[in-house]
Amino acid sequence: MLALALALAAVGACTDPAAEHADAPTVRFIGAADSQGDAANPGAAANPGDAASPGNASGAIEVSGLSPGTLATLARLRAGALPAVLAVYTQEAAIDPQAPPMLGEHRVEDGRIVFTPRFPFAPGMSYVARYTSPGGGAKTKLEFHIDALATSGETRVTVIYPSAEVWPMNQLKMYVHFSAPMRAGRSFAHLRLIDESTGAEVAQPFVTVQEELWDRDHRILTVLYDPARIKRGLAPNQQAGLPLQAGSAYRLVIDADWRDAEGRPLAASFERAFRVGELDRASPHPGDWSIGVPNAGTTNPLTIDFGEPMDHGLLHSLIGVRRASLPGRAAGWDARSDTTAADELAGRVEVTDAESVWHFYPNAPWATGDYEIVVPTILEDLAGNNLKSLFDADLGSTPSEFAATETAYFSFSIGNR
Amino acid sequence: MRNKALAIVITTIAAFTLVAWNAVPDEAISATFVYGTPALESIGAIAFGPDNVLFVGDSQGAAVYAIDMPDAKSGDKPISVENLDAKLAAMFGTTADDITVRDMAIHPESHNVYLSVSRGDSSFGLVKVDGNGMLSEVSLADVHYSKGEISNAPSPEATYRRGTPARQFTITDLAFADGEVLVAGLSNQEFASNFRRMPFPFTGKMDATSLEIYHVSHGQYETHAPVDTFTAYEMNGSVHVVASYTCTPLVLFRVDGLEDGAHVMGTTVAELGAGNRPLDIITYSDGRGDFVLVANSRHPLMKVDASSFAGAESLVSPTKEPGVPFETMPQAGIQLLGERGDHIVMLQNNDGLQLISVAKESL
Repeated sequence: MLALALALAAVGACTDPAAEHADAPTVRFIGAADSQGDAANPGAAANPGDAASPGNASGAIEVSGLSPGTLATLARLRAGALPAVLAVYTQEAAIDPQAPPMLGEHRVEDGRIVFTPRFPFAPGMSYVARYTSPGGGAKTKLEFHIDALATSGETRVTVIYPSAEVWPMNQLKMYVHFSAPMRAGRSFAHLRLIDESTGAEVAQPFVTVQEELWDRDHRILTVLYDPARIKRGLAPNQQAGLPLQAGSAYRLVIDADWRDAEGRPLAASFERAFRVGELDRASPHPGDWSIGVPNAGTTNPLTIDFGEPMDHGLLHSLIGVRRASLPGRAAGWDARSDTTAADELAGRVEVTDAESVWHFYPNAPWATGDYEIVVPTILEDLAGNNLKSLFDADLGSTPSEFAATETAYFSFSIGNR
Repeated sequence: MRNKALAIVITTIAAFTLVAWNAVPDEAISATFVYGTPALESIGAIAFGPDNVLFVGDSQGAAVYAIDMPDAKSGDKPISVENLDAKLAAMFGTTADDITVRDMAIHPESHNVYLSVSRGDSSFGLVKVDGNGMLSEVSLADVHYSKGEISNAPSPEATYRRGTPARQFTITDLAFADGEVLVAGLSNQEFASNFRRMPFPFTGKMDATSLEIYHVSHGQYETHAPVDTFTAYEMNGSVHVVASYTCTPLVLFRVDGLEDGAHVMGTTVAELGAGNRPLDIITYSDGRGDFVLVANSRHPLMKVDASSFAGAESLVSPTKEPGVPFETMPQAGIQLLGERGDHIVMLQNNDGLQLISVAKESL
């Protein structure tokens, strides 16, 4: 390029070789929208310490005010050489000679270079963008800071299940519900169990799985009491005992520092008190349940009263109701189904009375006829006992009649009024 | 260190071999792959399979992706990277304490180290460490890949509940063995242990089978046992798994030839005490034989001579039985392990993360 410019000068062209390569580089933080092809604003000096609003955390860095010569050189550079021209560092990395720059993509277009980071700039962080002309000419930099988010958000803990006041000593799990999606990864730092008799925190009552147990929307966290301490015969059970003790009162404390998906703290901390009763070593058995059959022509609920609190999550997701395609089956529980079509009714489930009563409201009024309630035998009570077996089954005792069964079926009829 | 005792029983006695990559021809695999950008929603457990395929567990998206990952060798110098968390933080634009290295796998041909990395806001990426200790991101855009979906249905009967958003299966670990991707995980609702087996190449149908894993304590109490971390190896033509459960014991069980829904009992190999969780398990070979290494959250790094598995008694009373010996290794804070030629690469948390290489002969 320089050779061509000189040649033109030699034949009297007006091009000034110095101007061809005179950069007046301006480094600017731009919002995500601006990184898509808007013209640069040359002449504005880089202001160290510009703050960008959190809304632009998904922004980019732009260098404008570049000479045509520089732009042409840049256009010929391979991608791997561009970080040497424009690199963005976290504040910590900027002063560490060993630290690499941020990952991202460089584009040379419309008279500027734009660097879009691979991962969004993080609220509360400071960064340094450094520009060096190719060939080691002009250098300039921009230091910028992304504002931290508001000190409190709107997300709250809404409820912790089980909702019962008294939990069995071998309580297996609980569900913590949030009003909005949460950030995963540091949950156990924000959740404490206090023993009211001592006022002290119970040491490690929960098991931390390497990836936390969230629902798909990250609004429900499943927390397991340490099964190694609950299961009979295991060393942790013998050494440390169960995490909860019968006769004691406890308080779960969730601190507000727990971040939601946007990185904001909770609107408030949350506490939940409960008492602990005896061990539950009885499997739920359908023969103990009361079924409430609604009338034809209504959308009144079909109900199952379990007589004890059951697992909240499983009550909502496991149990279905369907039309029996082979009518005439006697009412009652069976391990076999006589239907040949899985004709599930659409409707909604509600759970009341500390998760001891299940209600199914059909979308359409009940027609007369024969029906089945479908209950997978993995339905659990609060201690993790399901229809098949106890949570830790004693091999010496008689197995449940549903031990080898996937599903229990209850046949019932809705007759004419 | 005093040798602690492990006791295990194996039904067949045989030479111990690491899993041979299934002899699946390239064409069979690539025929099932598409070209594009997999819609990954998270990356957690990773493991290499045959023919440069990297398996990636995506818990959020309820799937395992198989991604073609050709890679060039960069030398077999022992890899060592100091301040790994600070360097990853610099690349990801955050602070070191916001970085989590979730898993590590060694590319079988290039011997480069692959790391699944995430930030606190759930941003994630795959990072490669080459033979010179240089870090780079491995793009997961515009690749050849196939997707295997993880079923979340509560039972084979319950097809109608398949789509309930509150139910989620979290993948805790995965490995390739004998033509199948083995996936360990845990439901967020029922306390069950469904160890999934997905035939590979993925067929696109949900034909994974599952095993229910149990364990017995004191010869008397049987419970479901979610598997947390595991490795697979072949013994006498049969695939065995050395696994840790969510509830601590280190166990051994067989997976191949078992039918869908089979009830599998893990044989307890060791109990490592309250508050300890195995973090990673690998098998490796050197001139002296075959070994299992177990990294723990509290207990020191353990090395088991696998040839001593054969013929020993099962661990019935874990707190007092003698049996097969294991050794405790001096490296502290080890979280992840990988076999790389003559060395074992270890991710060490020692006031910051680093990658270190330890010669097999020194273990």
